Amino acid sequence: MKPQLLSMLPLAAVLAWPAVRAAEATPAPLAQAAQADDEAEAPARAAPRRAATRAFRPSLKYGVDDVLLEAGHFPRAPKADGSTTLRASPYALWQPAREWEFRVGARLDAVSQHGGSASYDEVRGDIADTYVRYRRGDTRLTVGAQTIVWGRVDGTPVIDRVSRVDLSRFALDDLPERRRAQLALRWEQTLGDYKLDAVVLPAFRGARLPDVDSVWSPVDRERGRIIGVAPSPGLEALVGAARIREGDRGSGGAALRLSKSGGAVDFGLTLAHTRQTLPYYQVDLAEPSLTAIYPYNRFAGVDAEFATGAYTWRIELGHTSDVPVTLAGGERRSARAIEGVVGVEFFPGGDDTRVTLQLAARSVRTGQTILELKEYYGVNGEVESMLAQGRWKLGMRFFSGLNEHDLYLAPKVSWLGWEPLEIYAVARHFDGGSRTLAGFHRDHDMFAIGLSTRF
Amino acid sequence: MGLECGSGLSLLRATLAAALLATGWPAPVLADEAADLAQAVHARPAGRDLTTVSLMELTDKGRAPRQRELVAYRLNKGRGEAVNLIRFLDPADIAGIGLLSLDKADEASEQWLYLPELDRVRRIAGDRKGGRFVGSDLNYEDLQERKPSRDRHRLIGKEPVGGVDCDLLESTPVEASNSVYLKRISWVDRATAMVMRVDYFEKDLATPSKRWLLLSRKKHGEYWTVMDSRVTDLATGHETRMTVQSVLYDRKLPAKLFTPQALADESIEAEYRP
Repeated sequence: MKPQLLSMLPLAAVLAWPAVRAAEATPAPLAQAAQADDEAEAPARAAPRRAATRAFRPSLKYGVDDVLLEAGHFPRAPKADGSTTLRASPYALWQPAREWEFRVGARLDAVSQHGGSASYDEVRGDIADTYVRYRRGDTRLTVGAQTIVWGRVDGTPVIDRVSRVDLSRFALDDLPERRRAQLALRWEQTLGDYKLDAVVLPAFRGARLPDVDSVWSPVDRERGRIIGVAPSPGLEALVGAARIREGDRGSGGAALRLSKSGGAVDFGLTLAHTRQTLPYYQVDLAEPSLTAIYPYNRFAGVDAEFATGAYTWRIELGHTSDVPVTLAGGERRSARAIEGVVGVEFFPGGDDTRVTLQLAARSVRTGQTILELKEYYGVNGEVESMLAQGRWKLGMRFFSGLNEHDLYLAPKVSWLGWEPLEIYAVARHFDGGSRTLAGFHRDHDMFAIGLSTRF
Repeated sequence: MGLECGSGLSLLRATLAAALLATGWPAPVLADEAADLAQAVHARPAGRDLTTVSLMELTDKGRAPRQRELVAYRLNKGRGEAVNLIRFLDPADIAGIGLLSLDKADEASEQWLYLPELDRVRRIAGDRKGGRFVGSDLNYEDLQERKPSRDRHRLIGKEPVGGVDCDLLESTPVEASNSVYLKRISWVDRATAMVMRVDYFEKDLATPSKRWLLLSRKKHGEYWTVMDSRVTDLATGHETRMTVQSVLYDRKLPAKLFTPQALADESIEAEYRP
């Protein structure tokens, strides 16, 4: 979502989005000028000039999404002094008939990390959304690689159970850029105000991980650390020496979502028996090795979204069983987890500043001592302000733990005057306890300049 | 709705009369006539449904203009309710973004925004009035329907605009909190009940902060339509020009076009583009 729209954001958020009423998107007098007589019982004052729908015209669209070029400097990272990132997602979308749609897409990434103990260059390609879609009436079927992101809140939706996570740049990017396509069969059925969304993942793919030498790798071999796990001398020795490998593949499971939109409250129910794409590293002391595995979870969640006055509220609650956790001796056990997020979006003073705040909580229910955090409460969000008629944008993304020291701050200034280019400068600061995300990256403060666009 | 409008007007008149008695101010000139003119502008017929394709051009002095192309649909549901669906077509970074709004008879509004990058429909608050719409000179309030009963009206003179004789209609919010403007002065062509120009007073009752000007209009069947207009920020000189490229009335647009499902599936909406 493009923030200049949302100022919102959203772009968008966007983009809360404006109460655009004018059919001709013109100011009030214009709206009046072309506005319907609101006392009318929808009379046909003039004979229809033409049928409402037009004859279908086959279409071919193509372009390049999500173009990013960024150069960054790490002032105190042992692994590197800087890095350069280039990525792009070319695509083509062909709709030869009203019912059929074909899309092919690719994701190209190039990274150069330099100036420290772990310099490397990498160029990788991956499949982006590439699918065949059939639609008829209120039914839509899609087969192929798809990016499906369920959720209502910004940041980290609890009900996001069928997407493939992209960790190649940790959490630096917006949510759409932190998700990848994976093979799925999807059936979407609209039933009045309700929508049924069924997804089957026949071929599982784990999260897209950065090179193990990357500063953003969840495994730090130099320090002997794994993100989210308490450090210890034993772990340090193990991580430094262990082979790191991928676990089994197989299928990814299935999930079902029922949602309703259009009333005073939008809400949804989600059931899933899927494998989450974030890896759990299983320890084998004998080899030694760390194997990324992806156990099945059972998930049940509810979510809702509503507006009160100038505030939009978004809520997600979920219960997950079979969450892998690690005992002090390195053994894996399963536990239950309860997660919740309450988010609010508003515009202070009704002006060009947009604020989103999320209060997130996660509780792992186990009676045993584990290396991971059992309880985590935190707040995350974003503040954006548009200046000079949307030519400049000031923003700040953040997250902060409430029961743990875990702090991420990313102030950013962007120039948006050469649409559709965004040219920006950003500072990223991490600090926190040993088992937190920002604590793991506490040496990875970064200053970066970059541009993003699409064609 | 007729009863409601009538009640609103009666209430407005009673409020004005009470205010005059209480303050001892001189009677506003032709207050009833002013309210009637405001109502005539508001109630001017524009069809059961409307489809437009428009180009919005934002111009800053010394800089290249920025453009947004959008298609918009409006359906008058009767009983004071209307729904609007807007889809941005250009430039590339915002193409596909859509907005659905349901405006209720009590002036409450429910809105949903579609974000193609996430393939997600988000509910958004409909009470926003301040802030600039997509970097233009339009406040969000400018895009909302404002019923005449929300303002006190009076006629303050006559002045031609573009060779058309106009009445000057001053409109001041009954409740200051429900508008970002202190007042508006509209130049109204009484013959067509069309507004030809508006001066907006945002911070100072004596000095307008921005101006909307009709540049071109056209009659489609029985409906007058603003085809070209311009908003100027009088302090900075920044301009927003809106050119309507295509207009279609009364196409019998279906209600299913104005649903979150159609908002999220551009191919459904695309079938109705002119």
